Amino acid sequence: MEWWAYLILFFSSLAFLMMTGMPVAIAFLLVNMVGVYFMWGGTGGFNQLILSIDSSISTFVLVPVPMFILMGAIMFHAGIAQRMIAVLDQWLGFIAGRLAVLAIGAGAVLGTLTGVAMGSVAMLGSTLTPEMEKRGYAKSMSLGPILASGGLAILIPPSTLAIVLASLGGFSVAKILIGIIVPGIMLAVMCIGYIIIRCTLQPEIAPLYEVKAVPMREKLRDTLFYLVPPVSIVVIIIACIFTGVATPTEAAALGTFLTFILAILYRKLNGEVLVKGIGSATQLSIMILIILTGSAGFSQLLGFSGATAALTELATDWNVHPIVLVIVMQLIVVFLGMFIEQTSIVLITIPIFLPIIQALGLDPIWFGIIMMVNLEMATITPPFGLSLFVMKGIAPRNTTMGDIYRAALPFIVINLVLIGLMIAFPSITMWLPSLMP
Amino acid sequence: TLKMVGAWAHGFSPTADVGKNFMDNVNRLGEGVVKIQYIGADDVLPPFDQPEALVNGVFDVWYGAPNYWAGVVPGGDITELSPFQTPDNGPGSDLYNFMVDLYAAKGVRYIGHGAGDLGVGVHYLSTNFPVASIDDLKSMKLRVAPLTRHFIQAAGAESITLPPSEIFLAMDRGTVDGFSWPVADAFTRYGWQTVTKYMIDQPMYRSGASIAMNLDKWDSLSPEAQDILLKAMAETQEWTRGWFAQNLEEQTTLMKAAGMEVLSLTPEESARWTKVANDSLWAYYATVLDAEHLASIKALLTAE
Amino acid sequence: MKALGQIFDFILNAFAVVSGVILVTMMLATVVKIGMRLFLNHGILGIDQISGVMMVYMTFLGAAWVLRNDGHVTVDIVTGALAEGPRRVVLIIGSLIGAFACLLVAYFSAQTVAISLARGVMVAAELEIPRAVNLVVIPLGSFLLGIEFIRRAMRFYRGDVVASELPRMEA
Ligand code: NA
Ligand code: NA
Repeated sequence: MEWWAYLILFFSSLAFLMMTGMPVAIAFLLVNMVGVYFMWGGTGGFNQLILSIDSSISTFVLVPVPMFILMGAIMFHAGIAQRMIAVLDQWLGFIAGRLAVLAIGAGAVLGTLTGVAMGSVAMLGSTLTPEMEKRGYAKSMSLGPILASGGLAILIPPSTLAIVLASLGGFSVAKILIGIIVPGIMLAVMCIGYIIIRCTLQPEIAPLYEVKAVPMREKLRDTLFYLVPPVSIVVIIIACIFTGVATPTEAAALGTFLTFILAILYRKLNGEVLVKGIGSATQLSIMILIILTGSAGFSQLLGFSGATAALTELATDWNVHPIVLVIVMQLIVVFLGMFIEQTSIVLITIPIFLPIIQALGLDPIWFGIIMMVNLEMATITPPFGLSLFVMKGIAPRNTTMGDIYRAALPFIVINLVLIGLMIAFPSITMWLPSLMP
Repeated sequence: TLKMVGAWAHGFSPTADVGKNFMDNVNRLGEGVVKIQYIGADDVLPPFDQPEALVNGVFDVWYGAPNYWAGVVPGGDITELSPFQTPDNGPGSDLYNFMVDLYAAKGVRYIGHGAGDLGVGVHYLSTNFPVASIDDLKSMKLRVAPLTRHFIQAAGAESITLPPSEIFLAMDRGTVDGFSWPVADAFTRYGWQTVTKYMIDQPMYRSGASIAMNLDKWDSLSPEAQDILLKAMAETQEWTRGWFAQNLEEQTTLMKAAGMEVLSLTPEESARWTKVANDSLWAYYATVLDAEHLASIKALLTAE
Repeated sequence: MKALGQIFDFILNAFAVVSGVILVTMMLATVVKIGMRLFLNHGILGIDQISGVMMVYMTFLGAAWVLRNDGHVTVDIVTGALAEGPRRVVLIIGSLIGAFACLLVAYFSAQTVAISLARGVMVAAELEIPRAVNLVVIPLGSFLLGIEFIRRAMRFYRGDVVASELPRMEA
């Protein structure tokens, strides 16, 4: 069979199987088995496929994934995250679109606690939207910022997806984790800028209201007690990775351990928090790791069929500027992001994209970080961005899916602008990693 | 056509080029009889999974470091201790036949081990602390390869396993104080010369590249084709000597140009070092090979 | 039948607890390793390698439990748009295909374990352990997963559950 026949066979059977509503991981597994049957020959091939399932996840490089998930779960279930938002709220004075700005700020702060968008949208949505509704905010200004802020959890370290991307792409986990900091902060700033400008121009979509003044002493005290400690844990993690004192795996485990200690100090670590926190973290970790078991097999089969090499050759022979190819690849990710979940997108695209990027002589770290922003955006791109459905689940009764799509739109544009900037000005992504050796 | 997969891609690693040389030799000598097609390297299968994949018949021919076989063929990398110019003495020799039998028991046809001359292109220790004797290694943190970990532990140092991609950061930030690497194998392409002060000019083991085939596939070949493969291997083993000498020379020149210092040991210290290196590896082989195999390989490796 | 289901649920829950314990153990082991290096200037050999093995155990011991909780990532573009009747049919078929795949993997991975033991394959890392130690949990986990898929198909058939209304968590 020709390489393109394999390619069509792989992708069409993958699409078909996913449509039946079976877990994505099992769809990958089945496609791998069919591919192995054709290409690796009989039982020997199946034997090898099983070995690749083991090799794909039995590596300490991926250990930060469950660690960061556990850390976030404990922060949420122990109420540490909720306390932080309350402190942030105290600091925010009169400002156009106050609650919308708070949503972004809280999203950024929550982003430092958790590696997954999980819960971030759900939590902000359930705590902030009723308040926004009460204050007469338009749907676009109540739902949109909360959707956008969920993405910050993915973009601001710790980030589970960044580790998955780096380990699959074979590049430095440390550099990707450090490299997404600047784009993450830029995204938050751009969103806040947009909200303030829009609400100043159109005051009716976010009416101003009286804010109860909190005495400075109380503000400082609450900040010291409830904001500084959890943020410090994240700063410690980042510092350890940045300076190389500890490997990302060690830094992640240490940060998670400190989170438990913090919960104990707050006297919030009871049996229920432990069971719920560890239980949900275990479930989420397994969910991600089992998708990864399909990874090794899938990318190996693509490589073996010659499809990877042929596509790389096609792309490098295509007489256009490399940047055009980068843009085309990002558009493919945007398209896939409308329909499927991010870890799966990484699994499908990285084995094909990365050889091309390397053949073009482009920096894979740069490309990986751009891809991170794109994948983060995928959580809010209609029709099937998962954060959109989370929002639908918790938004007020009269909210339609159309309301949510419209609310997400400006923030999708902001994301696209950011991606454009990152392509045009590589220093946005490369400045921090370049300070590392 | 035989499908070949290697541990590293051609071009980047001089060791991988040994595999390429073998393929080119086979395709030249075997025109019309046998042909090797290169499928890929770590992009196709993770390097550490490749030996088992060869046994499983996923592909037919493999090249990589001899010690990648450690888990599948116990003692399969024992020619690392060879005192002969060609580590396995070449096709037809007693040592070579011993290796063929050792691998055949695990479903693999041993083709050959190509290396530089004795002491050329082999494992060296590079450090950020001066070393005049093996005693200086005590309680230092050193990054190891699977093969060198026995020596590092025997020297009383702490062995840390890291993939090559993490060595730079670990050296720069002092996570490790030194590391072992076959210097000829593109040392400076990783940029390590900028974060490392010393190279200890004390060669260890043989390093080089190993080539192997799936046994069933080998048995299915005509005697003529088998003969061509062995001839090609003999040519490759010859060629590898010059290739590693050239690369070692190139690399050490670049390392010195970057300000690294090459430290030599006194003859006595050098002899002590070599003894610890060899004894610790023998001690390891004693745990994975049965007494009979061990005795015959010891005899074979000290003969002549 | 019902008793059998209860026993199976008990097994899934027990393994889920083991998975959770593994998760916490991974964290503690790495912290101990850092501590040893910091205060005793000597690390413990093999923690990273053991963590890798624990990842496999956590995943496969808990996979069926996660499926019972409807916690795996699925794509519901089609199933979500279908009417109740056809949706059930598609979900039942999807579950049965999943069961087939998992039981097949259980069969082949059991073979792989046997082959690995027969060949005496070792992991040549800090700790030389048989590769089968890593592998043995795969047949167990995929067997449980296969059974749970059959139960999922039965649940859809009886109409006990419609496709979950709960939005799934994402990475
Ligand atoms: Na985050
Ligand atoms: Na989407």
